[in-house]
Amino acid sequence: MEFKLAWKWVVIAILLILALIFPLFADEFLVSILMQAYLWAFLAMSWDVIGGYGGQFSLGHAAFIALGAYTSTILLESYGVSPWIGMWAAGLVAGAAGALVGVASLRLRGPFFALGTIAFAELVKLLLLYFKGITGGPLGILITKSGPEYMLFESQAHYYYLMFALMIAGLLFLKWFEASKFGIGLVAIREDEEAAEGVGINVYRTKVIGAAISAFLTGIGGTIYAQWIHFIRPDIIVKLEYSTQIAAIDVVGGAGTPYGGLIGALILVPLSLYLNAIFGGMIAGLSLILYGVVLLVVVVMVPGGIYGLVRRKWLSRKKGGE
Amino acid sequence: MVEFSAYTQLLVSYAILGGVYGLTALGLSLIWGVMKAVNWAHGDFLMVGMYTAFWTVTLFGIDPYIAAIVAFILLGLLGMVTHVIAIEPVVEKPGGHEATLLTTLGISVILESLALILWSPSPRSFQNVYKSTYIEVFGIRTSVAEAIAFAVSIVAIVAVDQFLKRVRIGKAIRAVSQNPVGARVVGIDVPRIRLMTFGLGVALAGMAGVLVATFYPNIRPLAGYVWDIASYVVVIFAGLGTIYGVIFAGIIIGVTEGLGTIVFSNAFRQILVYVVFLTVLLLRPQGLFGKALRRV
Repeated sequence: MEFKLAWKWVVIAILLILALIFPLFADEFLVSILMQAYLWAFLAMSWDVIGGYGGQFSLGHAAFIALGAYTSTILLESYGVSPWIGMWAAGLVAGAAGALVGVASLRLRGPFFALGTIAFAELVKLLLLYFKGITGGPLGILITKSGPEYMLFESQAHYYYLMFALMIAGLLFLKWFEASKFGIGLVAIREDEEAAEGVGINVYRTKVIGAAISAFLTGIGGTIYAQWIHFIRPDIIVKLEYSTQIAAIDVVGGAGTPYGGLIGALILVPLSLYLNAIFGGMIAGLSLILYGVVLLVVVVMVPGGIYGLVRRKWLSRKKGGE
Repeated sequence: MVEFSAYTQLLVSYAILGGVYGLTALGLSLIWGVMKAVNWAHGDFLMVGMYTAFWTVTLFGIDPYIAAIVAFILLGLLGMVTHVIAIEPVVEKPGGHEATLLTTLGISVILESLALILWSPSPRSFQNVYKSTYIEVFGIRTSVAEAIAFAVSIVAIVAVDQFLKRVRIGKAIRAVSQNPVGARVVGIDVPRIRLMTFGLGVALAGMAGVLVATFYPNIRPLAGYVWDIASYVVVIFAGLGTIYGVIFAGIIIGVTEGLGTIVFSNAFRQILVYVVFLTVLLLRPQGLFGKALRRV
């Protein structure tokens, strides 16, 4: 048993070292692909709090990316506040909006909640377009500053480490969250709301705070995303496509597990970016088809996602061995 | 007085548009109400309907209203194929409703990407006499295409309602929607009824797509999205399982958009629609007509 445990840590250590030295030997394109996979993994993990553990299927998370991105970018460009500080404000603004969505989740179930979140994201987009004075309207905001003190870097490798750190933070958070009293409460509500209430879980508070945490993390992801693309505009940041991709990545990887988002992102993001790089110029839309097909196949054939499948195989083998 | 009649014109135009929303929402409402499954690809089937109109009219030069029949059949088949691939395998499993949400989301993404690949993202439209001919009633002008779309909307809604009430299969559909287990006990082939319901819902979406395409100048792979949102809004507004509800809800949404344009500005119009939508969703999730006009 101890031997096994040690092996687990050896594997983790090797993976960590490989990930850390990756930019030293891989070319820029590969680094950029893996970096984006980390970012989407983090966003999917953020979604997982409410979508996976909470069982509330949000299709509006692009709104939280946008709220986060706009908050920190406005602070940066209009007030000179560094995004290292601004990202926390971004999280708070997105989190407050998330709490509102959480209140809505008390009344709306399943598809109704999903629809409500779509409408919410559309509303956020329209408001960003409407209040031109603050947001720059349809023209958006360009990030003009530079330097690491403003979270702006010269090379992709720096962004790679930034997003790697973000992803690891997300993973550790979910590991902790899953075992926390709060996380267990959220899962209990997902499984049976009345029973959860019966054993003394405050359904109202748990749902609202759960949604706020999910949005808070997504908002921080939004800041990092804006810092990387250097430019935000309502129509490129509040896309239903993004909301869908976040959810699809997590579901394909395994919703309601700490590793689902990472597994889903490591499979789907490189695949779609490769397809784009190869065929993108000729055939727009090819990479998206992949999301559709993989989502369909996984939901029909592998309920529980890829992580669920691997774990079932692993458990049955362990049982067979004993 | 000039102002006033301009407003009336605008409101009536939006009310007509709202009536068409009722038609685009009809298939969605049927599938949602009967199978308790949300078809997220609904708008994309509308889009495929629009392209069906575009291609049949430009390639074969046939009348767009014959294209509507073509689309009804074609999309009906496509709907049944979709059902076999994406709905039936998951609908009865635990968590089936969440699963159908995901699988139809997958279908939606696939249809949009296929349309992008096959037909490019550039918007298309086709010329037809119905779009360029106008009729005037009580000083209010509207294109023949929109007037016909509005009329078809009402006819289709009445037809679907009568089908559900009087025809044997329609009655079976209602039975399945009310109690799938009971329906099975009395000998109804539930999977077959589900297949037919989904096929019919998608066929109606295809037909609606053609009628929209006769006056809507913006046929493109993501066109479904605009009408999709309108359809969801209408179905929620109307409440699930109401057939007549969708036409009233559609007109209310249309008039709300019109009022938004008059009182505020065109940019504010959409904001208003979403605010009203979210308010209704939160205050009355069963819809405006959810109890009063219970059907299916």
